[in-house]
Amino acid sequence: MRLNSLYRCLSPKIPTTHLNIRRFLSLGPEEYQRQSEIFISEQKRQRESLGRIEKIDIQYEGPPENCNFVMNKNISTPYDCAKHLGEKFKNGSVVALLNKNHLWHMHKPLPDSCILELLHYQIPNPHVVNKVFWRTCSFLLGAVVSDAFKENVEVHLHSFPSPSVKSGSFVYDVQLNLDNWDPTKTELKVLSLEFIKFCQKEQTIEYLDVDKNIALEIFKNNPHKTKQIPDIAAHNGDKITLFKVGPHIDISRGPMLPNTNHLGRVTVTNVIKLNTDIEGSPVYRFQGVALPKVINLNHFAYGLIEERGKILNAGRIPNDHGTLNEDNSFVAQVN
Amino acid sequence: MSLSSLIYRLTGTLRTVERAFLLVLNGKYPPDNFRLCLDQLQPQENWNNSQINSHKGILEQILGDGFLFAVPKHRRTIEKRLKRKYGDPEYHMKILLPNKKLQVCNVCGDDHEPKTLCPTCYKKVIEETRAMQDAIQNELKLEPVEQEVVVMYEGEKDSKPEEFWKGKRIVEMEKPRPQWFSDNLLQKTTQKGAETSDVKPSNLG
Amino acid sequence: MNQAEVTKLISQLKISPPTRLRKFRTPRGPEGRLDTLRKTVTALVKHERLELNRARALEARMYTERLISDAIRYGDCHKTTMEMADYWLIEKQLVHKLFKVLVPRFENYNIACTRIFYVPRNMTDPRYSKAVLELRGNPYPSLVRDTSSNKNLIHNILLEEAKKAYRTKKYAEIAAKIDAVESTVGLENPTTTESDGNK
Repeated sequence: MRLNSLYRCLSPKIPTTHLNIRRFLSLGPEEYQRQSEIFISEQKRQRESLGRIEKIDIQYEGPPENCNFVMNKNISTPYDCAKHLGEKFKNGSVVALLNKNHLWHMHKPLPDSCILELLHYQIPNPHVVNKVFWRTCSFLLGAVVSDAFKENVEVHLHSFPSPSVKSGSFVYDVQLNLDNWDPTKTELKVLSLEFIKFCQKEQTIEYLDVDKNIALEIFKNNPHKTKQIPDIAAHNGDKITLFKVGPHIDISRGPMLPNTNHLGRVTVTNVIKLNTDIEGSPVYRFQGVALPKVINLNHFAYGLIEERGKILNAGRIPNDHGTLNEDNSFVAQVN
Repeated sequence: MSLSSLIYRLTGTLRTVERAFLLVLNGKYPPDNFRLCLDQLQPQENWNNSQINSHKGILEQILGDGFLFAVPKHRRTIEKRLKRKYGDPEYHMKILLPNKKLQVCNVCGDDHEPKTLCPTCYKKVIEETRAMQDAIQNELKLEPVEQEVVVMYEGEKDSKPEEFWKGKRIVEMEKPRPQWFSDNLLQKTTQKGAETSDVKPSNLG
Repeated sequence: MNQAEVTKLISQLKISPPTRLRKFRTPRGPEGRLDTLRKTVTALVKHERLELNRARALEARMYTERLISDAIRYGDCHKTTMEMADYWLIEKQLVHKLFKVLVPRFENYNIACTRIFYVPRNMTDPRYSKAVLELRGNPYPSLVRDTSSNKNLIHNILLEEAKKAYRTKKYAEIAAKIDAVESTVGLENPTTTESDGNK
């Protein structure tokens, strides 16, 4: 997973002092291991605390026919309902729509009886689906970036702004201890390849609601996330919504795609240094473009989109104070 | 040369005939060459005689009255046998296999092969098309066609401005427009569908 | 002789014709083949949408395209075109339709005027694959859902944004050019105004 070419390009610039603080970095297999253990134990605890299993009645509406499912309360997910409908629905559904107004992650347990609809990319009005797709791309970009660099590069994920397809690219803002890094074409290509490889693993994107303290424990080595968590928890009933893909865990309001194999073409288009007042190392904005696998586009048109994605994204630039904002991705997006 | 060979063959034949007669007289079965003619000589009851039966060979005891079919002379390899039985995956399989190359229609959720139309949606469309074609041909008959043909469903006369119908040959259908068939062909079918279905009955009433 | 001129002698079709024509098995030979195709072409011009065997549809498509493109190219006063129309359209009322309805309809098309779709195979007898051949702009319900015109699909949004970005870039370039021209003119002008003022 380590990028040799990136390392080769970057290593001369790296100050030697950073090599000494390697054990404090938020990356590396030990850190992933620690985060995953907390996540999995909490997931297990929540599952065991359910107690007696109750049944709920799910009314499914849509093709191939409207039907009713009797599912388990707080255990069954929309994904389980899709499994009953067939393989194509299982793999093709992007996000569930409950009671015609509430978007629901495919792997999030259903708490009550409801009307269920499954959305895909080619519905007549797909802007909610596009938003889910774009948000997941940002989230996955964070996962790729946090694992792409050599251990002597300090990587702290900051946040990503509210997903907006109209901005032309999806974004993740990351703090790197590199001064004036201007990525070459090869480096971007390597990052894109890492992204593609990551998506090809076909990992499910898991969902978990946790308490503030557990979230703080998970992100204790990330200074930015630690700062953000109390604010988010205050606006979200003392709960933090976490998403996990492979070993990577991140905070987001959601919902996300059910699996990484939904992504078709992916490119990391540009990395731009931002002017912010965040203390410490400079913050870089990683930008990329992607398309779902089901949407085919010829290479010329995709090239135009890639060109567009190189321009600095107009999304909100993070600063040291006020992490909570209207367009911040951590704020509730009811859509 | 020819004379000596003739004599030789004659003596040979005589010898075999003599041997056959001897066998028959001793109550044994004659050799193959003389069976037909000698079958008539055998009295019928002799066949059931156990004494005679005991003298028969094992093969005759098993077969009795039956006869042998032609049988394969050579063993057929396992590969060939399997290919005959199940077919060849490269060319044609004789057994039924699941079709894994299927797509799901986004409208009705039906499965169909890639690069083909969805069967349910297609059936719906082609039935409507045939109805429209019949209506158009009933209207046009054999006159020269000089204008674009527009199909007007029931209760649609007032829904469009006058200019729309101008310079066009109007063919009326004696039924309301199907819900899935948008009246504006440049727009998406799903968007307009719900609206038109609501509007039409009120226009009628 | 110049090769480029030769290619312009017949109208270029917007479909790719196959390297070899299909033989339809008829006892009447090549004429019989053309007779069957004439029937199909006539029916296509008449009904505008047909369900045919796949080979027949693909073959009839080429002749229809050629007929319509010739009609657009030469008009109804051209003798050869009229003869061809007379030959291909068995029902003569359709000759009027060809020149008065189809020519105006397809005049400004930069895509082929026919369209072909493959019909799902009948699984009880999957040997014969069928196809639907239609003229574009027909009054019938559409066979496929239009995905390209839905502006909300993700790739359409992205392409729209790319277009906008390109345009703003171009406008900026044009504005910069105009500014450059104006500044050069402006450099000349002040001298005149100054001289005027001095007078």
